[in-house]
Amino acid sequence: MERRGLNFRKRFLRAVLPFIRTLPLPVAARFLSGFGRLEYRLFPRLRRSFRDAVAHGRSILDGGWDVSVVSRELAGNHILWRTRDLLLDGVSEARAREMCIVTGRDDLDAALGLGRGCIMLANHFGAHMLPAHWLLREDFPLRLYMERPRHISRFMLEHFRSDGPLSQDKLFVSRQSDASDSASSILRAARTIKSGMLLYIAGDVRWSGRLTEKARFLGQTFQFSSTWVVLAAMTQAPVVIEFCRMEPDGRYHIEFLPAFIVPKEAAIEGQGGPWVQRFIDALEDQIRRYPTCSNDYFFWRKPLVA
Amino acid sequence: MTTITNESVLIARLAGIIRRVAKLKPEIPIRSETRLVDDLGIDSLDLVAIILQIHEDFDIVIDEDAVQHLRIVGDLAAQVAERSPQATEVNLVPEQKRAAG
Repeated sequence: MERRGLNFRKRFLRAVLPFIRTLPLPVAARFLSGFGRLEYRLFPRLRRSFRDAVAHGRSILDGGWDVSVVSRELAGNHILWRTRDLLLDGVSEARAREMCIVTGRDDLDAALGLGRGCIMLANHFGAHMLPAHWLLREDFPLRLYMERPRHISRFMLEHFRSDGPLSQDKLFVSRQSDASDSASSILRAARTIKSGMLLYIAGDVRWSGRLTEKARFLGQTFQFSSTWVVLAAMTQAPVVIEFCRMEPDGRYHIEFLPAFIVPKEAAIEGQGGPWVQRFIDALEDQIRRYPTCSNDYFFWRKPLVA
Repeated sequence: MTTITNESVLIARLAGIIRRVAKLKPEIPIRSETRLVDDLGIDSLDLVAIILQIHEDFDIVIDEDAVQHLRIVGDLAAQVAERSPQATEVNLVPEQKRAAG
C-alpha cells in the first residue's frame, strides 16, 4: 500500500501523543483513529485504495461486511497499528490494564507451566505490538525474536537493555545475516526457549530460502518463514498463537489461543508446511471475523514466492 | 588397541557428521581448510543440525557466540578440541591406525 506522507504522519503523531494520552485511553485511541478516518474522507485516492482492497478481501473470504464501513474503520485503525504501543508509553499500570481486555490468559499460563518455555506466535494483525507490551508489563520472561522494532515505547526500549548470552540485544535478527550468523541466532533462540522464556516470533513473515514453507493466504500462495516451526520442533515447547484487535470502544483485545506442540519430524525440510498453513488459516479466520483490524493484508497483491 | 592423538581423525569424524547431515556426496573432499558455505554449500539449517549433532556425539556445547565465527571445518575442530580434549584422542585398532596414517 502506498505510504504517502508517512514521515509527516509519524512526526505529527509523536507531537500530539503526549496530549492525547491525557484523555481516557479508549477515547484517546478513537481520537487517534479519527485522523485515519479523516484522511479517508479527505483523499479520494486513498479512499479508493482502501475500498478496492477491502472489496477484494471480501470476495476472497466471502465476508458479509459492508465495504464502505470496513474501509473507513480500517483506515482509522491503520493509524493505531502504526502507533504501535506508543499510546501506552509512560501511562500507569492501572490505566494500561484498563485499556486491555485479555482472554486466554489461562491457556498461556498452562503452556508456561509445562516448564519447557513457550513460543508466542505473533503476527501483524490489529495492534500487533500490544501483546508484547502487555506481556512485559505483566513481568513475563519475554524475548522478541525479530528485526529490532522501531517507533516503540520507551517502556519497551528499556526492556531491550539486558545483559548475558540470552539478552534481547543478541536475539534481534537481520535479513543480512550469513549462514553462521543465522545458525547462531537459531541456536540462541532455542536456548532462550529451553531456559523457560517466552519467545515472541511472527508467523506471517514473507521470506525466501530454505527456512520457508508455502501457504495459501487470501486466495494466493505465499512463502512464509518457518523458523518458528523448526524452533518448536527442536525444543518441543508449546506454541501459543496470539491476536490483538482494536475494539470499537477503543480498547485493545488480546487473545491467546490454546497451545499446541509441533512434532520433532516437522523440523525436517518439507514437513513444516502443514504447521505454517495451520497458523495462516487461523490468521485468515481472524481477518474474516475482524476485517477492520486486517491492517495491510488486503493490500498483499504480489506473492513473494522464491 | 593403541591410543593416539590425531587431529586428522577428529577432522574425519567431523567430516562424517557434515556429510551425513548435509547429505553430501562421498567424493566431495572435506579437509580442515574446507569452507563450510563456499565449498560445501552449507546453509544455516544444515549448520544448526551439524552443531546439534556435534553436541550429541561429543557431549559438549559450542556456544552461539562461537558458532557465529565458524567459516572452515578447522574452526569446528578447534571448538570441539577446546571443549573436549579427548576428542582428538582415539582408540584405534591396528588396521584403523594404519589407515589414519
